Amino acid sequence: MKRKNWKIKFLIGIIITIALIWTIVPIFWILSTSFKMPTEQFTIPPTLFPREFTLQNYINFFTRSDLVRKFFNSIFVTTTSTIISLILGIPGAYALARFNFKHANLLSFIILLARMMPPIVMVVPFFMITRFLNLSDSYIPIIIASSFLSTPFAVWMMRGFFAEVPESIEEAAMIDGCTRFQALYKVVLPLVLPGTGATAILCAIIAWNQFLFALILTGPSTGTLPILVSMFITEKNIDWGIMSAAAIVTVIPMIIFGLLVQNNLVRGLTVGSLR
Amino acid sequence: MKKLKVFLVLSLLLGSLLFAKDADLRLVSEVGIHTEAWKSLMDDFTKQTGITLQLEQIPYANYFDKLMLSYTSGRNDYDVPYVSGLWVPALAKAKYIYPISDITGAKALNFKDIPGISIYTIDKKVYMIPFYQELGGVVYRTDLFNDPVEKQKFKEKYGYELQPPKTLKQYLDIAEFFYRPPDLYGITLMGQRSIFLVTHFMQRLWAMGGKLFDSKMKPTFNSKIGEKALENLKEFFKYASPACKNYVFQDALTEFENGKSAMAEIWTTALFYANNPQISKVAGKASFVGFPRTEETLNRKLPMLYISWGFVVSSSTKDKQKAIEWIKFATDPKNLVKVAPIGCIPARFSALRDPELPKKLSWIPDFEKALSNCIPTPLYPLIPEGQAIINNYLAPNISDYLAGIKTAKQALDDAAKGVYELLNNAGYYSK
Amino acid sequence: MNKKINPGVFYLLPVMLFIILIFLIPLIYSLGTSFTRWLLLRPDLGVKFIGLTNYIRLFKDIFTWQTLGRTFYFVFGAVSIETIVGFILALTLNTEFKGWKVVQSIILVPFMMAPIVVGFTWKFILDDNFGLIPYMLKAIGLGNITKDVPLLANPKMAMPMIIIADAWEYIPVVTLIILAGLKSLPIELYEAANVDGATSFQKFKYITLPMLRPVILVAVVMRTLTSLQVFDSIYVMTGGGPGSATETLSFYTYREAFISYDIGFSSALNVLIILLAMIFTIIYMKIIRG
Repeated sequence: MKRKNWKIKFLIGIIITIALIWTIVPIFWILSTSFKMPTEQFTIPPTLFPREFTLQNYINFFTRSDLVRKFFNSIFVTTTSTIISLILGIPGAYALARFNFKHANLLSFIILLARMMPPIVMVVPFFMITRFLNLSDSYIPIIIASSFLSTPFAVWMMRGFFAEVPESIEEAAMIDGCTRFQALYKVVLPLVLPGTGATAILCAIIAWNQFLFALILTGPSTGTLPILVSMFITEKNIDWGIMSAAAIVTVIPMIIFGLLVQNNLVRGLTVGSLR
Repeated sequence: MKKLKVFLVLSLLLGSLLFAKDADLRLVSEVGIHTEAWKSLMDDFTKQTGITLQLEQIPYANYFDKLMLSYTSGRNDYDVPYVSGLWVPALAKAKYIYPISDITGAKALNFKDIPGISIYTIDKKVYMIPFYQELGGVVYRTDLFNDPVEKQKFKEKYGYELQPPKTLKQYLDIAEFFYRPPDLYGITLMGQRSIFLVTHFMQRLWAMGGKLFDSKMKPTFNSKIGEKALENLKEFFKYASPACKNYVFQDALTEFENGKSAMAEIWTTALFYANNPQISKVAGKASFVGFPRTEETLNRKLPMLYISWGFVVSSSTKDKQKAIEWIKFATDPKNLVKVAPIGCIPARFSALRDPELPKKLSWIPDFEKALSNCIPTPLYPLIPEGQAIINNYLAPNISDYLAGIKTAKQALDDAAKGVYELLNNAGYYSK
Repeated sequence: MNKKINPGVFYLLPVMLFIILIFLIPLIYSLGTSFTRWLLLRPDLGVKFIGLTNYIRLFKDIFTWQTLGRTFYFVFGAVSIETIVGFILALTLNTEFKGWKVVQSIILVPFMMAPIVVGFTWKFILDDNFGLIPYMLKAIGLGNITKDVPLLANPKMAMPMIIIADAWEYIPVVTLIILAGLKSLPIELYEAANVDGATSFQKFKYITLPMLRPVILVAVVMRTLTSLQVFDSIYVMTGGGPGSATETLSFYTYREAFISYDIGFSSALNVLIILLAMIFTIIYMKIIRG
């Protein structure tokens, strides 16, 4: 018995070690490079730790007005589309969890299809329609696009969370004189608040990380952070340092938010797949 | 949570109010040294005329796509873009840029003084005023070529004097001679599936007397000469570093600057970088020779890779007069000579002949010699489909050939077939 | 009997309206433009109805089939690796060893990173001159792999590299789905098996695997669908190259739409992708429901 336990523990240890190294090293590499002096980026052989720690890359990043603008744009677009997704998605999810619809399957299919459709399919007509409506200079196209991408997730996740709340709770509230809407707002929503938080974060992650739509539908004044990461190739060299800084700035907020709500995030992501 | 979001949105709205008003003229350009050259003129211009300027720079790799996207999506982002002469046909045909010759005050730009002006003239209207020009050829290490020890070893091995190559055979011999991995390679090439790779093919095709198209725009690059040109290119890759297979311009430049190769098949812009002591290990040791020919074609006037960059005016620009003011100032021959050392080969005959210029850039006479023996030919055919021809048909197929996936004939035939369909679809062959 | 309007309709209407409008209108638009010749760079040629010409070109061109092949190569490779590794990781996490929650958090991180950043990270790490991996390969004696051709410029290795980058980002998702499935397995079955004296291996083979099949299937089909979307990493790592080695359907469509600006042909490609996505989505729905 003891020997078997030892063998299994050893195996687990190896698997986890590999998994951790595999996950952490690339991220660490970028983080480390963002703190390297420009000359050190190009040393052969590459160094894992910066020989000279410097914040220059980040300073360069934050002092360029066009870069900071993209940071603000990301915040604006993400916030707006998350709010839209929640406003649309929460009632919709509630409805799907509580009511029977004749065409429930068809509706679910449409929502699912919207989630699974490769963005490239939507980008081309979005681009053409935006052009036709002369909206290219505004935030509207990218906000609508981002909302479109995250709303199905919002519905999907919230539906699962609502399904876990017994209907008797609303019934009790309605007996006390509330309308269903009041019951939803005052009683049920507070109960699923952690789930809502996780859903909001997921919507934010989707909007924040979006690249293809941002590439096509935004201009110099409406561009978002992911655009930057693809763009620091000067005529001389790829400036790995400042690109790494841009990359870190792009991913850190979402990593932090994501980890904060990870339990509910995991529940939300998997609950739909386990009927 | 919600309060934080509201706060952020409010602060953003406030912040957007603080963002400055647009300048009189919005310029856009790539990130490169000739942009640096005219950037240094911007303040003087505003002082002299009171017209404010604002510049956005986009890395070269993304520049054309972003500029095109900006135009096709119907936005009015830029007034005076600084573009490559190659893009002019596409931009003009789609009516995204306005004919400069039609703007009042354009006469002052003195079109006669501009080399290669026919390249930017479509339907008798001039669409671009070049600031900068250069040729594709071979950049080489003067120290290695002038070294007496090397000269002697070379003469012993090949039977003739070591000098900047005039023929393809000499070019290949020298590449082989200096192939001493891993410290020194004979030649630096740009092997990434892109326009850069295609330039190597085109230079050889032309040097051997071949052509990309016939007069009816039917592809002729898949001829026997084309196959020979491709095979010749493969020979050269033998004497280049293995990393060359993934190189674009900046990588090739870095390799040469680090002293890792004796020659680089690149264009004259490279000299500004290579001779800059702050970034190059071979500063002061780089010079230029026009692309070698074959024995038969030595004295013919052949097409040679010609690159120029200049200013165009967007159709959506409100005040085109102001645009002309800037262009006039930036391309004034005196200003061109002044900023030449920063990184500009002036695109004006009068500036090239200015006796002050060779004092600042020693290799100008070599440049002039090559220029006089060639037909300046842009990297892409001067049609809107030009870029697609190079990027979507020639580049992938040449890349496939070098990777060993296709034979030379297969690769060129496939490319020719694709190009033929493309042009047919766009109405070039119908009468 | 008077027909009452289902009160739920009011809650559902806004979101369905939004999705249907924003989703269906572009799809129909794409369908429409797929029957035209519309070259944005040639406004002089106008918009011309050309019937099925784009589709004929699409199916006659061998490049389309090669692209489909490459796309399925990518999807198959990515999903297989992610499923196998995800399964192993899920089993390991399920043993709830000390600190497993921390490990779960760390493993989750790549999923939250923007795909474009993941692409950039791997491009850098695979860089022949300055990247970590070629250096380490040389250090352990496998330098031959990158000797002649850098990894991302090697037609045989480029796609595997894209697959690896994709796997790095999405293994966490598969892991979590399978882990959730493992946690929801009824303990009673295992207890009954223990009473009968089953070994761990037998328990695994006759209880765990069969009961997990639906979950694994769900993960596989979901990942298949979402890997059809891959774009960002290809854009920044290889640009579709070397040659066309990493050009998938999505990237091909992007090139036709935003480099060649051939709206008609790229719309036909769009329709093809839509059909593929619909087929797999229907399969996915059947699995979840069944």
